[in-house]
Amino acid sequence: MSAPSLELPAIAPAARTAARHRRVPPSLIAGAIILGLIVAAAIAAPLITSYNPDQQDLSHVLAGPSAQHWLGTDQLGRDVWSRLVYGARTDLQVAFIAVLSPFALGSLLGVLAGYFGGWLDGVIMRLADVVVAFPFYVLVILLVFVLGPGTRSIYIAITVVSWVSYARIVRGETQVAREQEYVLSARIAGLGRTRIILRHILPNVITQAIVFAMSDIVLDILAIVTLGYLGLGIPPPTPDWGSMMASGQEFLTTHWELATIPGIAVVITGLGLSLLGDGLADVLRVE
Amino acid sequence: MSQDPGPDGQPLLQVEDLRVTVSAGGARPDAVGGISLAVASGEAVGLVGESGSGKSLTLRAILGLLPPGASVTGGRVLYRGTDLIADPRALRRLRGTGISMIFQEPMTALSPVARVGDQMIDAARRHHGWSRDEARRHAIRLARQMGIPDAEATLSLYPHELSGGLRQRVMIAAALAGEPALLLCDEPTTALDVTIQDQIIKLLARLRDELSMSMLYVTHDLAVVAQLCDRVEVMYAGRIVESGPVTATFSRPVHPYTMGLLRATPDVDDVQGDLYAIPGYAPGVADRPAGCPFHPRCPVASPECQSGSFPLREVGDGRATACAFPERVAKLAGTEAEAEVSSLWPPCWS
Amino acid sequence: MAALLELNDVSVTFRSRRGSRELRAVDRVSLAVSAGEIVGLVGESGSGKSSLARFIVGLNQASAGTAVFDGAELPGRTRPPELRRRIQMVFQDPYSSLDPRMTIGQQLSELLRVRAGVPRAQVPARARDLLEQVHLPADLLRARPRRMSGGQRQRAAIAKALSVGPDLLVADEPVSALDVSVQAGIIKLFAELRRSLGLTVLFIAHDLAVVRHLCDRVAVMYMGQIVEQADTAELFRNPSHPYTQGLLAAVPRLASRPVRGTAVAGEPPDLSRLPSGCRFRPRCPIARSLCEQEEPRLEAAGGDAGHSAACHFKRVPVAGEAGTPATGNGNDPSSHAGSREVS
Repeated sequence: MSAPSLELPAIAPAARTAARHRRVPPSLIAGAIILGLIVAAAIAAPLITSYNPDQQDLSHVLAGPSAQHWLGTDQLGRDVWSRLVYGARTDLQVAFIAVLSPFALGSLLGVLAGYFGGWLDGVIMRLADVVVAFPFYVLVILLVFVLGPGTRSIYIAITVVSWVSYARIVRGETQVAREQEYVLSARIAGLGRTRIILRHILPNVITQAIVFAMSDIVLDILAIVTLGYLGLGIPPPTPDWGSMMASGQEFLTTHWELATIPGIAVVITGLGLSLLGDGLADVLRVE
Repeated sequence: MSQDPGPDGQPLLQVEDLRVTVSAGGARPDAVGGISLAVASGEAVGLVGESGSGKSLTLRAILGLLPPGASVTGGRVLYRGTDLIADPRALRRLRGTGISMIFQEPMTALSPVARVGDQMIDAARRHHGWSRDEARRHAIRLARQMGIPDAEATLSLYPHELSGGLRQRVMIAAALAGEPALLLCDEPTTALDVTIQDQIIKLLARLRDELSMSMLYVTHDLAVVAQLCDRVEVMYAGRIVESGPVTATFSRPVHPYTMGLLRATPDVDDVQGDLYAIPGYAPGVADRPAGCPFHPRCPVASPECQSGSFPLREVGDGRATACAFPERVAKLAGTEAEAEVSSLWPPCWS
Repeated sequence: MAALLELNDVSVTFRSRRGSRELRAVDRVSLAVSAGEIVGLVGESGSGKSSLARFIVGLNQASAGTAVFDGAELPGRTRPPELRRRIQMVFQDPYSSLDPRMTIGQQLSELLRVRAGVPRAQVPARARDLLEQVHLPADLLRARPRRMSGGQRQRAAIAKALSVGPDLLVADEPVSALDVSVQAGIIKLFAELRRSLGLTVLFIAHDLAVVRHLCDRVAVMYMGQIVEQADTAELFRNPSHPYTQGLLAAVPRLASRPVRGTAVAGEPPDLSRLPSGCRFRPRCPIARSLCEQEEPRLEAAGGDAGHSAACHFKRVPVAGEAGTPATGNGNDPSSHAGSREVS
């Protein structure tokens, strides 16, 4: 019999873990499907609607569901279904973009604060404390009010207020990652700070921020909707769920669906995003 | 302190064909694949194995402390004749009183928000039904027995205020507060410094002698087993591959894995002997080979070892092995076979 | 032969969390490591061996003393990258010493390109060579750490450390977290690398048995100081300091039955409240009043030229006394107390 070699067989423990990796978490699938449908509908808006969302038809106001108007019409005769679908387009677009810049800004500040510590950390964290001292909506509404309504104001306002959560999450993770031995060995090898932060720390700390971003989109949609409801949102006649709910409010007792349907749309979208975030958290987690 | 050793000399603890499965990516493989062992009254048995051998799961299965995802799917665990798996209520009554357990990490075994004295008192009261004062005196007595200096003052501290060694002693004292007849030990000294480990081992040896306490001691360190235990069970890939008295097993093993472990363990006194590495690695729960689980790494394996079952069988003198060819191991263990050994298993320096 | 690394009275100090107290984790340590040697650094918790290691690889700053590497001054944290390259480290935990998100190949390539100056075209071949040096199959280049066993990860970590071509490798308990059957393979690897690459190794461990098998010389640390230093054979044959003797007696053995008493009583003191005089005094079986008043210095302990110990009453072998095995203080003819039971 030959001497067994000291060469270890290739990656055999993979058999153990491969099974775990092949199984995609059901929350990810469910979330992806829900969100996928909504996004698809928003993109294909012209194809699945027969009316222009701004098109008024004063001869057919407040009509119930029918063959021509699947969800009926609102008080100005506009097709509710069209407004719903185009509203999805508006809200999803704005919310998605609105989450990107706090994500980027917050994560960057968080990594810097976590890695360098010291006075930089102190400054960033005190800044965060100032922002957090104000209730979210108070600050957002104040900023939009001051900057004037419009999508750009919304982006700025949300960025100024939301970066804090990302910064805190990433800072905490960075402080842990910084002491991990693979980071220490990068320092011992003499790799530059920039490279260490970008290549070794950032990919390992950004996961939590991504997962948070998913739920943050939901919050942003709500914020936009709320702003719309308060008349500070996306200016009319662009359809958006918030303004739909606001204008449908006065008809709650007679035509409750005008205010409720966009609300349900918000809920379903939020659910999809939460599930997606959950599933992503599972998938992105490294053992 | 221990109760009657058993009416008809039956062992205190008898594990029969215990099977524990874990969930791993949809499948439910056997982490522990049918093991049997016994612990007599006043006896210390070492359960030795490396990571993935299933030794910790075995211990936890006895007390019903398996982690989520793992469950007992076969076999019996008899304590003084009562099957603890079939009778969970009996098991609950026994925990802390008949059978107790100490762990590797005292910080997780002790509640961080309770004073250490209180934790001991509660266990004692449950077992004896004493008043608080009686239990407190008992706890102080126990603490002194454990070599805890300044017992009364120490008992009023919280776990994080104690040093590692002291915490370990407190954990042992708490485990003994209910006066168990059997102490399960899950690598209690692995994380300790050598000098502290030595103190704890000597302490456990004294308890074993003075209190006639039985022990089932799980560890990966063969030398600790040599110090403390009377008998040893060697586990590999969820099965017991060798069993027997400590001295005989460690001087003349009858399973290639045991021999491999012995030859891979550096000895602080013997610098002459070469160190041999067992090639390959232990299989994970889901990819155990067919036939003898050790055959891919075995220097004396032959084609028959690749299929079939290899149960533990007795070979006399209270020893048992799962190897079908123990005589090959015996041949390798003799010094005249050094040349052959070095050709079969590459030594550490050549 | 000139030493590759020379430490003279090096101290490493930390400020305690509340900033009030200064803790000297390493206290005036002098150590020399020659090229091609494997030197063992032994100690338990609180000995300062890890803090010393971190200074040597440039993660800490020394608060006092001088360090010379290959003839030039060796700074701590402010070390230039070119000097950093020459001293590398292997850590204890194989599970956190590799970046979990990069493949082994990527981690090696980065070091080869950025620090070792290997041209891009030659990187794959060099990476394969490195894996071969540590006896890992080449297809592990594509694997991420989570798919590797502990022993494989440790070999990969060693490959990473070797990739930048260091002269000195500091190994901080590299086998302590591994199973015994895997441990032996890694120990063999260190011996082999010393032979094939002329690598110098500072091997930090608490396991005396491993140290005995691998190291040429051993230094024993206790509470931040080196209490004994000698060639390996000499140290195990004639341990001079009571702590070394106790440490040796405390190691459990396969063959013999235990000595009755405990080897070393008590616990190491708090770094912030060190005893006066000799630090080992409260736990020492032969301590006397001098030990409380005066801190012992590292002095020749006879027997061998390179053997020194820091004890007022160190055991010095009488001429002709050969190879007395260390079996604890009870057998020590120069000690006055037997081993002490835990009270």
